[in-house]
Amino acid sequence: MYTRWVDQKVRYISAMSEDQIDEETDFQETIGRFILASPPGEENDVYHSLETIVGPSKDISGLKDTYFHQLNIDQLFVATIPGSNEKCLITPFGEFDETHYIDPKGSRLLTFDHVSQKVTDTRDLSEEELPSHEEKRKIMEKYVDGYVLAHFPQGVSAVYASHSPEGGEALVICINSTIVKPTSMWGGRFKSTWVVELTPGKAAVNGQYEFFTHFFEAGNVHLHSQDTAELTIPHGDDDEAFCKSVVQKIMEYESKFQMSVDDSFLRLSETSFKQLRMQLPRSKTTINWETLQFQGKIQ
Amino acid sequence: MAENKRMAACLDITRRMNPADVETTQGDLIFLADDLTGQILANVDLPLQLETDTAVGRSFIISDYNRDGDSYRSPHSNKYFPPYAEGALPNAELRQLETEANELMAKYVELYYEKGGESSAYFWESSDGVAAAVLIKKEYNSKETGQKGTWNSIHIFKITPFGTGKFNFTLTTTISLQLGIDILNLAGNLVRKAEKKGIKCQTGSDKVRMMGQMVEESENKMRAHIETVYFGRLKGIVSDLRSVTELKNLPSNRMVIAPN
Repeated sequence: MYTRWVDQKVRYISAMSEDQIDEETDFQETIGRFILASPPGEENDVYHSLETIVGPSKDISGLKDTYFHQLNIDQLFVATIPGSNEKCLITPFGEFDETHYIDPKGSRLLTFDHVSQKVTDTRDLSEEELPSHEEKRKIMEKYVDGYVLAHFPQGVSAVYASHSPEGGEALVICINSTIVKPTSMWGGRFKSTWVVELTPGKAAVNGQYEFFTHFFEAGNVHLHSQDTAELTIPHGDDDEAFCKSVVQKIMEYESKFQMSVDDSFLRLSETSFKQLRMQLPRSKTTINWETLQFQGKIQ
Repeated sequence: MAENKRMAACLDITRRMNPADVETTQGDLIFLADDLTGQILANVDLPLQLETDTAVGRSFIISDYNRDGDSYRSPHSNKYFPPYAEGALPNAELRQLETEANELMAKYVELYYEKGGESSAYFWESSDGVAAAVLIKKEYNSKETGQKGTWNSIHIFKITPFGTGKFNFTLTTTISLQLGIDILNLAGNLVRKAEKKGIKCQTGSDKVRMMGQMVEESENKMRAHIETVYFGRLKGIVSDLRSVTELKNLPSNRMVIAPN
């Protein structure tokens, strides 16, 4: 399906002149920029507004396909398994192809439609399709599940068995905690990705985590905060002990990150906001305008 | 009308995009709907910028309200920069109001914004009276504390006669701000309208004083709203998303995500 789409795009572009190609690329990239910048849960509203702006004469549904794919995997989209309340993540690490994603916990392959953002089909993975380090993955998943349950009221996670570029075993942990309340005009997401590359005796761990929240009642306010971590964790024969210590570190780093955000909010109220504009002048009262106006004037 | 729907869609997008990226947002919207350029420019405020009035060695805020062609009129010297001989100038009465307003707002800014606050006021004739823009800008960037911030106020006034010696004042205020504290980045804007009817004004000074009062009232209300509602809500969302302390973690604790 991916190759067919690429062919179509090439045919479409070669029918245009060079100037047209540049403008078409600019147009596509502009649409893409808006879609990819959508706050949590608002991508369909953004897309609908884009459709209205460009008008009925221009069909951007093909772009919706492209950019919703990128958006969904970037945001570690939380998808629901049809006929249940079970949630799975749609991520770059579980991408089998553009419409198929691995659900490692359920040992399933999901068929996912990016435009409707729905799982349309599932099938069990066969024994041969499971990775070599599935047992290790399961242990890590157990500790990650415990962590997510204890710290994320709306958290969903996935642990993938992967390989590093050099071919060594790797585990990738993805966490997504998203809450969307469109009628209350807000939405927010915490997401993190931790790549654990196993080498003899130790593991190189790289994490990135972020908060993104949007509140738009009578206005528009965004919060963005992100950070990264790089650490090494010793790795002996005991997989249980190793996985437990990895998740322990993840919890420490993510909590430290959150506390830094909380601390910044405190400084915001106490100093930063006042440095911008004070609540009241130093006199601690509102201005007497008559006095102010005639101050320094010769009567 | 299709145009109104398209403009409403532009504003919808503006309300969802990061206010810190408003320049890109505005440019991209104009690219997608260049027939709506005028309306987009009028409705999507960019961060206020300063220009230097070299005649008196002071800075002033540039905007559509003091622009003619590619030049901007300074409220200090009443000259255009870059020089533009044919640039429109306010009549004597408006210029008097403008001079007084700039003087008064400078004092106001000193009291609430202290160091680094800038203000400019511009007056023009409207169909039913006088209109004015009071613009305030404050920026800081402290390397030692890792904190930076920008505040922009755009106050648009309409002053219309209402009976003998009385006037109605309407004010639309847009506040845009950005704050960076360590790794926390906040950006937001808020709009509020205010009105005062039947205010007795014998002189221009009376009008200017009323304007100052309304600016202070609106800014104080909006600042409080930003702090308690905006920042409060954002902080609340962060704690809803993740808990530093362990949750009393029973599966029944989990809320059902509102269906899309």
